[in-house]
Amino acid sequence: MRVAKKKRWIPFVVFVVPALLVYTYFIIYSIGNTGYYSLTQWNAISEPKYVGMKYYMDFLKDKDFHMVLRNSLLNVVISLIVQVPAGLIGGYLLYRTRRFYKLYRFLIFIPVVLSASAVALLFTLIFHAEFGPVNALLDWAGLSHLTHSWLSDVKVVFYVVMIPMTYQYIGLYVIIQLSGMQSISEDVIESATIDGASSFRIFWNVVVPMQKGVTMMCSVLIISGCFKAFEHSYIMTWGGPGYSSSFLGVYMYMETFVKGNYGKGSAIAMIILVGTLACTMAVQRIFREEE
Amino acid sequence: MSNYEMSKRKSDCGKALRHIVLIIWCMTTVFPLLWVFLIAFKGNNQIFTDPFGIPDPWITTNFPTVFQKLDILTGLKNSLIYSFATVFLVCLLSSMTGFYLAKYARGKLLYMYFILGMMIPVQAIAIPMFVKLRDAGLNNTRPGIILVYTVIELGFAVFVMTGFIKRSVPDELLEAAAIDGCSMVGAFFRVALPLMKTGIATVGTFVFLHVWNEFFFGLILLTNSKLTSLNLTTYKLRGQYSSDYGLLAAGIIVLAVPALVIYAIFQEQVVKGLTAGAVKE
Repeated sequence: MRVAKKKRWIPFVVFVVPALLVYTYFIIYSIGNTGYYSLTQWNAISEPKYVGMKYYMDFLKDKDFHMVLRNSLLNVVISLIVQVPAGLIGGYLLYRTRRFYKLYRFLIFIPVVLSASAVALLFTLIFHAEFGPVNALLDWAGLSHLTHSWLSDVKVVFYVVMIPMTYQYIGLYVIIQLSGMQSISEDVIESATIDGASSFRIFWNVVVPMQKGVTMMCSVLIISGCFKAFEHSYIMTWGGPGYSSSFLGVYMYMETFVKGNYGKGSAIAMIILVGTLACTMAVQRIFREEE
Repeated sequence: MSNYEMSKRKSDCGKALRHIVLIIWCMTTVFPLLWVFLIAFKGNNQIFTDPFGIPDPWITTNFPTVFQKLDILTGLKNSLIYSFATVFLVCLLSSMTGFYLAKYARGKLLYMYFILGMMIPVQAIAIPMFVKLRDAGLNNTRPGIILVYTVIELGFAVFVMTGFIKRSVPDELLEAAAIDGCSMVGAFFRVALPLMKTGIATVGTFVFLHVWNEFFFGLILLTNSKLTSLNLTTYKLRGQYSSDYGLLAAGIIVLAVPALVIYAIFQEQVVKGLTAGAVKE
Protein backbone atom coordinates (compact mmCIF):
# COMPACT_ATOMS: atom_id res chain seq x y z
CA MET A 1 0.00 0.00 0.00
CA ARG A 2 1.28 3.42 -0.83
CA VAL A 3 1.60 5.80 2.04
CA ALA A 4 3.17 9.26 1.99
CA LYS A 5 6.81 8.79 2.85
CA LYS A 6 7.22 11.26 5.68
CA LYS A 7 4.28 9.72 7.51
CA ARG A 8 5.61 6.18 7.51
CA TRP A 9 7.03 6.43 11.00
CA ILE A 10 3.63 7.17 12.53
CA PRO A 11 2.06 3.73 12.06
CA PHE A 12 5.39 2.20 13.02
CA VAL A 13 5.42 3.99 16.36
CA VAL A 14 1.75 3.43 17.06
CA PHE A 15 1.39 -0.18 15.97
CA VAL A 16 4.76 -1.83 16.35
CA VAL A 17 6.85 -0.11 18.99
CA PRO A 18 4.96 -1.43 22.04
CA ALA A 19 5.26 -5.06 20.94
CA LEU A 20 8.77 -4.51 19.60
CA LEU A 21 10.06 -3.12 22.90
CA VAL A 22 8.52 -5.85 25.04
CA TYR A 23 9.65 -8.57 22.66
CA THR A 24 13.19 -7.26 22.27
CA TYR A 25 13.74 -6.67 25.97
CA PHE A 26 12.25 -9.89 27.29
CA ILE A 27 13.11 -12.37 24.54
CA ILE A 28 16.08 -11.23 22.46
CA TYR A 29 17.92 -9.40 25.24
CA SER A 30 17.16 -12.30 27.61
CA ILE A 31 18.89 -14.75 25.30
CA GLY A 32 21.96 -12.52 25.50
CA ASN A 33 21.63 -12.55 29.30
CA THR A 34 21.43 -16.33 29.36
CA GLY A 35 24.53 -16.53 27.18
CA TYR A 36 26.40 -14.23 29.57
CA TYR A 37 25.19 -16.00 32.74
CA SER A 38 26.38 -19.30 31.26
CA LEU A 39 29.94 -17.96 31.48
CA THR A 40 29.61 -17.11 35.17
CA GLN A 41 29.32 -18.83 38.48
CA TRP A 42 26.24 -17.33 40.05
CA ASN A 43 23.60 -17.99 42.70
CA ALA A 44 21.29 -15.17 41.50
CA ILE A 45 22.03 -13.13 44.64
CA SER A 46 25.70 -12.13 44.81
CA GLU A 47 27.71 -10.71 41.90
CA PRO A 48 28.20 -13.17 39.02
CA LYS A 49 31.78 -14.46 38.91
CA TYR A 50 33.21 -14.88 35.41
CA VAL A 51 34.43 -18.42 34.80
CA GLY A 52 34.59 -18.51 30.99
CA MET A 53 33.74 -21.77 29.27
CA LYS A 54 34.06 -23.78 32.50
CA TYR A 55 30.56 -25.29 32.49
CA TYR A 56 30.72 -26.22 28.84
CA MET A 57 34.09 -27.92 29.37
CA ASP A 58 32.71 -29.72 32.45
CA PHE A 59 29.84 -31.08 30.35
CA LEU A 60 32.37 -33.00 28.25
CA LYS A 61 33.13 -35.30 31.17
CA ASP A 62 29.94 -35.00 33.24
CA LYS A 63 28.17 -38.38 33.36
CA ASP A 64 24.82 -36.86 34.38
CA PHE A 65 24.93 -34.47 31.47
CA HIS A 66 25.79 -37.28 29.04
CA MET A 67 22.81 -39.31 30.20
CA VAL A 68 20.43 -36.36 29.97
CA LEU A 69 21.73 -35.36 26.53
CA ARG A 70 21.41 -38.95 25.34
CA ASN A 71 17.83 -39.06 26.71
CA SER A 72 16.92 -35.87 24.86
CA LEU A 73 18.44 -36.97 21.56
CA LEU A 74 16.86 -40.42 21.87
CA ASN A 75 13.56 -38.68 22.58
CA VAL A 76 13.94 -36.66 19.38
CA VAL A 77 14.79 -39.72 17.28
CA ILE A 78 12.08 -41.99 18.70
CA SER A 79 9.45 -39.25 18.53
CA LEU A 80 10.29 -38.58 14.89
CA ILE A 81 10.19 -42.28 14.03
CA VAL A 82 6.88 -42.85 15.82
CA GLN A 83 4.94 -39.62 15.52
CA VAL A 84 5.69 -38.53 11.96
CA PRO A 85 4.47 -41.78 10.33
CA ALA A 86 1.61 -42.04 12.84
CA GLY A 87 0.49 -38.54 11.91
CA LEU A 88 0.58 -39.37 8.21
CA ILE A 89 -1.20 -42.71 8.60
CA GLY A 90 -3.79 -41.43 11.08
CA GLY A 91 -4.42 -38.36 8.97
CA TYR A 92 -4.88 -40.48 5.86
CA LEU A 93 -7.25 -42.91 7.61
CA LEU A 94 -9.40 -39.98 8.69
CA TYR A 95 -9.12 -38.35 5.28
CA ARG A 96 -10.53 -41.45 3.54
CA THR A 97 -13.28 -41.99 6.09
CA ARG A 98 -16.77 -40.52 5.78
CA ARG A 99 -18.83 -42.33 8.37
CA PHE A 100 -18.13 -41.35 12.01
CA TYR A 101 -15.42 -39.03 10.70
CA LYS A 102 -16.30 -36.26 13.15
CA LEU A 103 -16.47 -38.64 16.12
CA TYR A 104 -13.07 -40.16 15.37
CA ARG A 105 -11.53 -36.75 14.90
CA PHE A 106 -13.06 -35.49 18.13
CA LEU A 107 -11.72 -38.42 20.16
CA ILE A 108 -8.23 -38.53 18.64
CA PHE A 109 -7.67 -34.85 19.38
CA ILE A 110 -8.80 -35.00 23.05
CA PRO A 111 -5.34 -35.46 24.65
CA VAL A 112 -3.98 -32.43 22.78
CA VAL A 113 -6.46 -30.23 24.61
CA LEU A 114 -5.59 -31.48 28.10
CA SER A 115 -2.80 -29.89 30.08
CA ALA A 116 0.49 -31.74 30.19
CA SER A 117 0.23 -31.91 33.97
CA ALA A 118 -3.19 -33.62 33.81
CA VAL A 119 -1.83 -36.21 31.38
CA ALA A 120 1.32 -36.73 33.44
CA LEU A 121 -0.66 -37.22 36.67
CA LEU A 122 -2.99 -39.57 34.83
CA PHE A 123 -0.10 -41.75 33.66
CA THR A 124 1.41 -41.97 37.13
CA LEU A 125 -1.75 -43.96 37.89
CA ILE A 126 -1.71 -45.91 34.60
CA PHE A 127 1.82 -47.12 35.37
CA HIS A 128 1.20 -47.76 39.05
CA ALA A 129 2.92 -51.04 39.92
CA GLU A 130 0.07 -52.51 41.95
CA PHE A 131 -3.22 -51.45 40.41
CA GLY A 132 -2.21 -49.83 37.11
CA PRO A 133 -3.68 -51.22 33.89
CA VAL A 134 -0.27 -51.79 32.28
CA ASN A 135 0.85 -54.42 34.76
CA ALA A 136 -2.66 -55.85 34.90
CA LEU A 137 -2.68 -56.25 31.13
CA LEU A 138 0.71 -57.99 31.20
CA ASP A 139 -0.47 -60.35 33.95
CA TRP A 140 -3.63 -61.10 32.02
CA ALA A 141 -1.64 -61.87 28.87
CA GLY A 142 0.54 -64.30 30.80
CA LEU A 143 3.55 -61.99 30.61
CA SER A 144 3.92 -61.45 34.34
CA HIS A 145 7.69 -61.59 34.03
CA LEU A 146 7.53 -58.31 32.10
CA THR A 147 5.79 -56.35 34.85
CA HIS A 148 7.85 -53.58 36.42
CA SER A 149 7.74 -50.85 39.01
CA TRP A 150 7.62 -48.64 35.95
CA LEU A 151 8.35 -45.31 37.61
CA SER A 152 11.31 -46.38 39.73
CA ASP A 153 13.09 -48.93 37.54
CA VAL A 154 16.12 -47.18 36.05
CA LYS A 155 16.16 -49.48 33.04
CA VAL A 156 12.69 -48.62 31.74
CA VAL A 157 11.69 -45.33 33.33
CA PHE A 158 12.93 -43.19 30.42
CA TYR A 159 10.68 -45.01 27.95
CA VAL A 160 7.78 -44.91 30.39
CA VAL A 161 8.01 -41.13 30.56
CA MET A 162 7.91 -40.93 26.77
CA ILE A 163 4.57 -42.73 26.55
CA PRO A 164 2.34 -39.95 27.94
CA MET A 165 4.17 -37.49 25.68
CA THR A 166 3.34 -39.62 22.67
CA TYR A 167 -0.23 -40.06 23.92
CA GLN A 168 -0.61 -36.34 24.29
CA TYR A 169 0.91 -35.03 21.05
CA ILE A 170 0.24 -37.69 18.42
CA GLY A 171 -3.30 -36.39 17.83
CA LEU A 172 -1.92 -32.96 16.97
CA TYR A 173 0.13 -34.34 14.08
CA VAL A 174 -2.80 -36.42 12.85
CA ILE A 175 -4.99 -33.34 12.63
CA ILE A 176 -2.26 -31.19 11.07
CA GLN A 177 -1.68 -33.85 8.39
CA LEU A 178 -5.43 -34.21 7.88
CA SER A 179 -5.84 -30.48 7.29
CA GLY A 180 -3.01 -30.59 4.77
CA MET A 181 -4.57 -33.54 2.95
CA GLN A 182 -7.93 -31.79 2.78
CA SER A 183 -6.34 -29.12 0.60
CA ILE A 184 -5.19 -31.73 -1.95
CA SER A 185 -7.43 -31.39 -4.99
CA GLU A 186 -10.13 -34.10 -5.18
CA ASP A 187 -9.31 -34.63 -8.88
CA VAL A 188 -5.89 -36.00 -8.03
CA ILE A 189 -7.27 -38.72 -5.78
CA GLU A 190 -10.18 -39.43 -8.13
CA SER A 191 -8.05 -39.88 -11.21
CA ALA A 192 -5.69 -42.16 -9.29
CA THR A 193 -8.68 -44.24 -8.18
CA ILE A 194 -9.98 -44.51 -11.74
CA ASP A 195 -6.53 -45.65 -12.84
CA GLY A 196 -7.02 -48.53 -10.43
CA ALA A 197 -4.51 -47.44 -7.79
CA SER A 198 -5.11 -49.11 -4.43
CA SER A 199 -5.71 -47.03 -1.35
CA PHE A 200 -2.20 -47.82 -0.15
CA ARG A 201 -0.63 -46.79 -3.45
CA ILE A 202 -2.51 -43.51 -3.40
CA PHE A 203 -1.19 -42.92 0.10
CA TRP A 204 2.40 -43.78 -0.74
CA ASN A 205 2.72 -42.34 -4.24
CA VAL A 206 0.38 -39.37 -4.13
CA VAL A 207 -0.43 -38.22 -0.61
CA VAL A 208 2.96 -38.66 1.12
CA PRO A 209 4.90 -36.71 -1.53
CA MET A 210 2.29 -33.94 -1.56
CA GLN A 211 2.42 -33.69 2.22
CA LYS A 212 6.15 -33.06 2.31
CA GLY A 213 5.84 -29.47 3.49
CA VAL A 214 3.38 -30.41 6.22
CA THR A 215 5.56 -33.34 7.27
CA MET A 216 8.54 -31.03 7.61
CA MET A 217 6.46 -28.68 9.76
CA CYS A 218 5.47 -31.59 12.02
CA SER A 219 9.11 -32.69 12.31
CA VAL A 220 10.16 -29.19 13.35
CA LEU A 221 7.41 -29.05 15.98
CA ILE A 222 8.41 -32.49 17.31
CA ILE A 223 12.09 -31.53 17.57
CA SER A 224 11.50 -28.27 19.40
CA GLY A 225 8.98 -30.02 21.69
CA CYS A 226 11.47 -32.76 22.57
CA PHE A 227 14.31 -30.38 23.40
CA LYS A 228 12.25 -28.33 25.83
CA ALA A 229 10.34 -31.36 27.21
CA PHE A 230 9.71 -30.81 30.87
CA GLU A 231 6.29 -31.44 32.42
CA HIS A 232 5.78 -35.17 31.89
CA SER A 233 9.18 -36.19 33.18
CA TYR A 234 9.17 -33.70 36.05
CA ILE A 235 5.66 -34.54 37.26
CA MET A 236 5.86 -38.31 36.88
CA THR A 237 9.34 -38.98 38.29
CA TRP A 238 10.99 -35.62 39.09
CA GLY A 239 13.42 -36.69 36.39
CA GLY A 240 14.60 -39.64 38.45
CA PRO A 241 15.71 -41.98 39.81
CA GLY A 242 18.84 -39.82 39.68
CA TYR A 243 18.63 -38.20 36.26
CA SER A 244 17.61 -41.40 34.48
CA SER A 245 14.33 -40.04 33.11
CA SER A 246 15.40 -36.41 32.76
CA PHE A 247 15.53 -34.45 29.56
CA LEU A 248 17.62 -31.30 29.12
CA GLY A 249 14.62 -29.19 30.18
CA VAL A 250 14.31 -31.04 33.50
CA TYR A 251 18.07 -31.00 34.08
CA MET A 252 18.12 -27.25 33.51
CA TYR A 253 15.30 -26.72 36.01
CA MET A 254 16.88 -28.93 38.66
CA GLU A 255 20.37 -27.40 38.41
CA THR A 256 19.00 -23.86 38.37
CA PHE A 257 15.97 -23.62 40.58
CA VAL A 258 16.52 -26.57 42.91
CA LYS A 259 20.31 -26.50 43.33
CA GLY A 260 20.65 -22.74 42.81
CA ASN A 261 23.39 -22.98 40.20
CA TYR A 262 22.24 -20.28 37.78
CA GLY A 263 25.44 -20.28 35.72
CA LYS A 264 25.31 -24.00 34.98
CA GLY A 265 21.55 -23.78 34.37
CA SER A 266 22.16 -21.03 31.81
CA ALA A 267 24.75 -23.18 30.05
CA ILE A 268 22.20 -26.02 29.80
CA ALA A 269 19.64 -23.53 28.48
CA MET A 270 22.08 -22.43 25.77
CA ILE A 271 22.58 -26.06 24.77
CA ILE A 272 18.80 -26.50 24.52
CA LEU A 273 18.62 -23.40 22.31
CA VAL A 274 21.51 -24.38 20.04
CA GLY A 275 20.35 -28.01 19.83
CA THR A 276 16.84 -26.96 18.83
CA LEU A 277 18.07 -24.59 16.13
CA ALA A 278 20.71 -27.01 14.79
CA CYS A 279 18.32 -29.97 14.55
CA THR A 280 15.61 -27.82 13.00
CA MET A 281 17.97 -26.55 10.33
CA ALA A 282 19.27 -30.07 9.67
CA VAL A 283 15.74 -31.38 9.14
CA GLN A 284 14.86 -28.51 6.83
CA ARG A 285 17.98 -29.19 4.80
CA ILE A 286 17.15 -32.90 4.52
CA PHE A 287 13.66 -32.12 3.26
CA ARG A 288 14.93 -29.54 0.77
CA GLU A 289 17.66 -31.80 -0.60
CA GLU A 290 15.18 -34.54 -1.37
CA GLU A 291 13.40 -32.31 -3.83
CA MET B 1 -19.22 -58.03 -13.49
CA SER B 2 -16.99 -60.21 -11.36
CA ASN B 3 -14.12 -57.77 -11.70
CA TYR B 4 -16.23 -54.99 -10.29
CA GLU B 5 -17.47 -57.21 -7.48
CA MET B 6 -13.96 -58.21 -6.59
CA SER B 7 -12.72 -54.68 -6.39
CA LYS B 8 -15.79 -53.70 -4.42
CA ARG B 9 -15.24 -56.53 -1.97
CA LYS B 10 -11.63 -55.47 -1.65
CA SER B 11 -12.59 -51.89 -0.93
CA ASP B 12 -15.18 -53.05 1.63
CA CYS B 13 -12.42 -55.00 3.34
CA GLY B 14 -10.22 -51.91 3.33
CA LYS B 15 -13.04 -49.84 4.73
CA ALA B 16 -13.64 -52.29 7.56
CA LEU B 17 -9.93 -52.41 8.34
CA ARG B 18 -9.81 -48.62 8.41
CA HIS B 19 -12.66 -48.45 10.90
CA ILE B 20 -11.09 -51.15 13.08
CA VAL B 21 -7.80 -49.24 13.26
CA LEU B 22 -9.58 -45.98 14.02
CA ILE B 23 -11.76 -47.59 16.69
CA ILE B 24 -8.73 -49.11 18.43
CA TRP B 25 -6.94 -45.76 18.20
CA CYS B 26 -9.89 -43.96 19.76
CA MET B 27 -10.20 -46.57 22.48
CA THR B 28 -6.57 -46.14 23.54
CA THR B 29 -7.19 -42.40 23.63
CA VAL B 30 -10.31 -42.60 25.73
CA PHE B 31 -9.54 -45.58 27.97
CA PRO B 32 -7.10 -43.81 30.35
CA LEU B 33 -9.61 -41.02 30.92
CA LEU B 34 -12.54 -43.37 31.55
CA TRP B 35 -10.45 -45.52 33.86
CA VAL B 36 -9.29 -42.57 35.95
CA PHE B 37 -12.87 -41.29 36.04
CA LEU B 38 -14.00 -44.55 37.64
CA ILE B 39 -11.01 -44.54 40.04
CA ALA B 40 -12.11 -41.13 41.27
CA PHE B 41 -15.35 -42.69 42.53
CA LYS B 42 -13.74 -45.66 44.26
CA GLY B 43 -12.49 -46.10 47.81
CA ASN B 44 -8.77 -46.75 48.27
CA ASN B 45 -9.53 -50.42 49.03
CA GLN B 46 -11.41 -51.08 45.84
CA ILE B 47 -8.75 -49.34 43.77
CA PHE B 48 -6.33 -52.10 44.77
CA THR B 49 -8.69 -55.08 44.82
CA ASP B 50 -10.77 -54.24 41.76
CA PRO B 51 -9.08 -51.52 39.68
CA PHE B 52 -11.22 -52.11 36.58
CA GLY B 53 -14.68 -52.68 37.99
CA ILE B 54 -17.57 -50.30 38.38
CA PRO B 55 -17.27 -48.38 41.66
CA ASP B 56 -19.01 -50.30 44.44
CA PRO B 57 -20.18 -48.32 46.30
CA TRP B 58 -19.91 -45.04 44.38
CA ILE B 59 -17.86 -42.75 46.61
CA THR B 60 -18.30 -39.05 45.93
CA THR B 61 -16.32 -37.67 48.87
CA ASN B 62 -13.09 -37.42 46.84
CA PHE B 63 -14.36 -34.36 45.01
CA PRO B 64 -15.33 -32.17 47.98
CA THR B 65 -12.10 -33.27 49.69
CA VAL B 66 -10.03 -32.13 46.73
CA PHE B 67 -11.77 -28.76 46.66
CA GLN B 68 -11.23 -28.32 50.36
CA LYS B 69 -7.63 -29.53 50.68
CA LEU B 70 -6.27 -27.86 47.56
CA ASP B 71 -8.24 -24.64 47.29
CA ILE B 72 -9.29 -25.49 43.76
CA LEU B 73 -11.51 -22.42 43.51
CA THR B 74 -8.59 -20.04 44.03
CA GLY B 75 -6.61 -21.95 41.41
CA LEU B 76 -9.54 -21.77 39.02
CA LYS B 77 -9.93 -18.04 39.59
CA ASN B 78 -6.20 -17.43 39.02
CA SER B 79 -6.14 -19.53 35.86
CA LEU B 80 -9.09 -17.57 34.48
CA ILE B 81 -7.48 -14.23 35.32
CA TYR B 82 -4.13 -15.18 33.76
CA SER B 83 -5.73 -16.66 30.65
CA PHE B 84 -8.13 -13.83 29.89
CA ALA B 85 -5.66 -11.05 30.68
CA THR B 86 -3.02 -12.64 28.45
CA VAL B 87 -5.54 -13.23 25.65
CA PHE B 88 -6.52 -9.57 25.76
CA LEU B 89 -2.95 -8.24 25.73
CA VAL B 90 -1.64 -10.66 23.10
CA CYS B 91 -4.61 -10.07 20.78
CA LEU B 92 -4.22 -6.31 21.09
CA LEU B 93 -0.45 -6.26 20.53
CA SER B 94 -0.37 -8.90 17.82
CA SER B 95 -3.25 -7.43 15.82
CA MET B 96 -1.60 -3.99 15.82
CA THR B 97 1.82 -5.37 14.96
CA GLY B 98 0.39 -7.77 12.42
CA PHE B 99 -1.55 -4.92 10.81
CA TYR B 100 1.65 -2.94 10.32
CA LEU B 101 3.69 -5.91 9.14
CA ALA B 102 1.02 -7.04 6.68
CA LYS B 103 0.13 -3.64 5.23
CA TYR B 104 2.83 -1.05 5.82
CA ALA B 105 6.18 -2.73 6.37
CA ARG B 106 8.73 -2.79 3.55
CA GLY B 107 10.70 -5.98 3.27
CA LYS B 108 10.49 -8.96 5.58
CA LEU B 109 13.21 -8.17 8.09
CA LEU B 110 10.98 -7.04 10.94
CA TYR B 111 8.59 -9.93 10.32
CA MET B 112 11.45 -12.43 10.46
CA TYR B 113 12.68 -10.78 13.65
CA PHE B 114 9.32 -11.35 15.34
CA ILE B 115 8.75 -14.92 14.21
CA LEU B 116 12.24 -15.83 15.42
CA GLY B 117 10.56 -15.79 18.84
CA MET B 118 8.56 -18.89 17.90
CA MET B 119 11.73 -20.96 17.77
CA ILE B 120 13.02 -19.96 21.20
CA PRO B 121 12.57 -22.67 23.85
CA VAL B 122 11.25 -21.31 27.16
CA GLN B 123 14.34 -22.48 29.04
CA ALA B 124 16.54 -20.12 27.01
CA ILE B 125 14.82 -17.08 28.53
CA ALA B 126 13.62 -18.47 31.86
CA ILE B 127 16.52 -17.38 34.09
CA PRO B 128 16.73 -13.77 32.84
CA MET B 129 12.93 -13.49 33.03
CA PHE B 130 13.03 -14.69 36.62
CA VAL B 131 15.80 -12.20 37.46
CA LYS B 132 14.14 -9.27 35.66
CA LEU B 133 10.84 -9.88 37.38
CA ARG B 134 12.44 -10.29 40.78
CA ASP B 135 14.47 -7.11 40.40
CA ALA B 136 11.30 -5.22 39.41
CA GLY B 137 9.45 -6.66 42.40
CA LEU B 138 7.06 -8.49 40.10
CA ASN B 139 7.79 -12.10 41.06
CA ASN B 140 4.85 -13.67 42.83
CA THR B 141 2.46 -11.09 41.44
CA ARG B 142 -0.34 -11.36 38.92
CA PRO B 143 0.96 -8.60 36.60
CA GLY B 144 4.35 -10.35 36.59
CA ILE B 145 3.10 -13.71 35.38
CA ILE B 146 0.70 -12.09 32.90
CA LEU B 147 3.62 -10.12 31.46
CA VAL B 148 5.65 -13.31 31.05
CA TYR B 149 2.79 -15.16 29.35
CA THR B 150 2.18 -12.21 27.02
CA VAL B 151 5.83 -12.14 26.02
CA ILE B 152 6.16 -15.85 25.31
CA GLU B 153 2.96 -15.98 23.23
CA LEU B 154 3.71 -12.84 21.25
CA GLY B 155 5.98 -14.20 18.48
CA PHE B 156 3.60 -16.95 17.46
CA ALA B 157 0.58 -14.64 17.67
CA VAL B 158 2.27 -12.07 15.40
CA PHE B 159 3.06 -14.82 12.91
CA VAL B 160 -0.53 -16.07 12.73
CA MET B 161 -2.05 -12.60 12.78
CA THR B 162 0.19 -11.16 10.04
CA GLY B 163 -0.69 -14.04 7.73
CA PHE B 164 -4.35 -13.64 8.48
CA ILE B 165 -4.43 -9.88 7.85
CA LYS B 166 -2.53 -10.29 4.58
CA ARG B 167 -5.23 -12.63 3.33
CA SER B 168 -8.39 -11.07 4.66
CA VAL B 169 -7.99 -7.28 4.82
CA PRO B 170 -8.00 -5.92 1.23
CA ASP B 171 -5.61 -3.05 0.42
CA GLU B 172 -8.38 -1.30 -1.54
CA LEU B 173 -10.49 -0.79 1.56
CA LEU B 174 -7.60 0.81 3.43
CA GLU B 175 -6.78 3.05 0.46
CA ALA B 176 -10.41 4.15 0.21
CA ALA B 177 -10.40 4.92 3.93
CA ALA B 178 -7.20 6.94 3.54
CA ILE B 179 -8.72 8.94 0.66
CA ASP B 180 -11.77 9.65 2.80
CA GLY B 181 -9.42 11.20 5.31
CA CYS B 182 -9.42 8.33 7.77
CA SER B 183 -6.24 8.27 9.87
CA MET B 184 -4.10 5.17 10.22
CA VAL B 185 -5.45 4.45 13.67
CA GLY B 186 -8.98 5.10 12.49
CA ALA B 187 -8.51 2.72 9.57
CA PHE B 188 -7.26 0.07 11.94
CA PHE B 189 -10.21 0.29 14.31
CA ARG B 190 -13.01 1.01 11.83
CA VAL B 191 -11.95 -0.85 8.71
CA ALA B 192 -9.46 -3.58 9.59
CA LEU B 193 -10.51 -4.74 13.03
CA PRO B 194 -14.01 -5.91 12.02
CA LEU B 195 -12.41 -8.01 9.25
CA MET B 196 -9.96 -9.55 11.70
CA LYS B 197 -12.50 -11.20 13.98
CA THR B 198 -11.73 -14.74 12.83
CA GLY B 199 -8.01 -14.22 13.19
CA ILE B 200 -8.43 -12.77 16.66
CA ALA B 201 -10.64 -15.71 17.63
CA THR B 202 -7.94 -18.15 16.48
CA VAL B 203 -5.15 -16.35 18.30
CA GLY B 204 -7.34 -15.91 21.37
CA THR B 205 -8.16 -19.60 21.47
CA PHE B 206 -4.59 -20.86 21.34
CA VAL B 207 -3.32 -18.25 23.77
CA PHE B 208 -6.11 -19.16 26.18
CA LEU B 209 -5.34 -22.87 26.01
CA HIS B 210 -1.56 -22.38 26.20
CA VAL B 211 -1.84 -20.21 29.29
CA TRP B 212 -4.49 -22.44 30.85
CA ASN B 213 -2.15 -25.42 30.43
CA GLU B 214 1.14 -23.64 31.20
CA PHE B 215 3.25 -25.23 33.91
CA PHE B 216 6.93 -24.25 33.73
CA PHE B 217 6.78 -20.50 34.41
CA GLY B 218 4.02 -21.00 36.95
CA LEU B 219 6.33 -23.34 38.83
CA ILE B 220 9.26 -20.91 38.77
CA LEU B 221 7.49 -17.61 39.34
CA LEU B 222 4.51 -18.34 41.58
CA THR B 223 5.49 -19.72 44.97
CA ASN B 224 2.67 -17.97 46.83
CA SER B 225 -0.14 -20.54 47.02
CA LYS B 226 -2.77 -17.78 46.77
CA LEU B 227 -1.54 -17.01 43.25
CA THR B 228 -0.96 -20.48 41.76
CA SER B 229 -2.90 -21.55 38.70
CA LEU B 230 -5.18 -24.57 38.67
CA ASN B 231 -2.42 -26.62 37.05
CA LEU B 232 0.05 -25.91 39.84
CA THR B 233 -2.60 -26.33 42.51
CA THR B 234 -3.46 -29.82 41.30
CA TYR B 235 0.19 -30.73 40.92
CA LYS B 236 0.51 -30.60 44.72
CA LEU B 237 -1.45 -33.87 44.78
CA ARG B 238 1.69 -35.56 43.47
CA GLY B 239 3.62 -34.60 46.58
CA GLN B 240 1.33 -34.16 49.54
CA TYR B 241 -1.37 -36.72 48.90
CA SER B 242 0.41 -39.05 46.54
CA SER B 243 -0.80 -42.23 48.25
CA ASP B 244 -4.46 -41.23 48.28
CA TYR B 245 -5.16 -42.39 44.73
CA GLY B 246 -8.89 -41.65 44.70
CA LEU B 247 -8.08 -38.08 45.61
CA LEU B 248 -5.41 -37.84 42.91
CA ALA B 249 -7.87 -39.22 40.34
CA ALA B 250 -10.50 -36.69 41.40
CA GLY B 251 -7.91 -33.92 41.03
CA ILE B 252 -7.10 -35.08 37.51
CA ILE B 253 -10.79 -35.01 36.59
CA VAL B 254 -11.21 -31.52 38.04
CA LEU B 255 -8.19 -30.37 36.03
CA ALA B 256 -9.29 -32.04 32.79
CA VAL B 257 -12.98 -31.15 32.77
CA PRO B 258 -12.78 -27.40 32.00
CA ALA B 259 -10.52 -28.03 28.99
CA LEU B 260 -12.77 -30.86 27.78
CA VAL B 261 -15.92 -28.74 28.13
CA ILE B 262 -14.35 -25.89 26.16
CA TYR B 263 -13.24 -28.38 23.53
CA ALA B 264 -16.66 -30.01 23.27
CA ILE B 265 -18.42 -26.68 22.80
CA PHE B 266 -15.93 -24.88 20.56
CA GLN B 267 -14.54 -27.91 18.75
CA GLU B 268 -13.77 -26.34 15.39
CA GLN B 269 -12.33 -23.24 16.98
CA VAL B 270 -10.08 -25.19 19.36
CA VAL B 271 -8.74 -27.45 16.60
CA LYS B 272 -8.10 -24.40 14.44
CA GLY B 273 -6.36 -22.61 17.31
CA LEU B 274 -4.07 -25.48 18.28
CA THR B 275 -3.06 -26.24 14.70
CA ALA B 276 -2.69 -22.57 13.75
CA GLY B 277 0.57 -21.79 12.04
CA ALA B 278 1.11 -25.37 10.93
CA VAL B 279 -2.01 -25.42 8.76
CA LYS B 280 -2.92 -23.21 5.84
CA GLU B 281 -6.31 -21.63 6.26
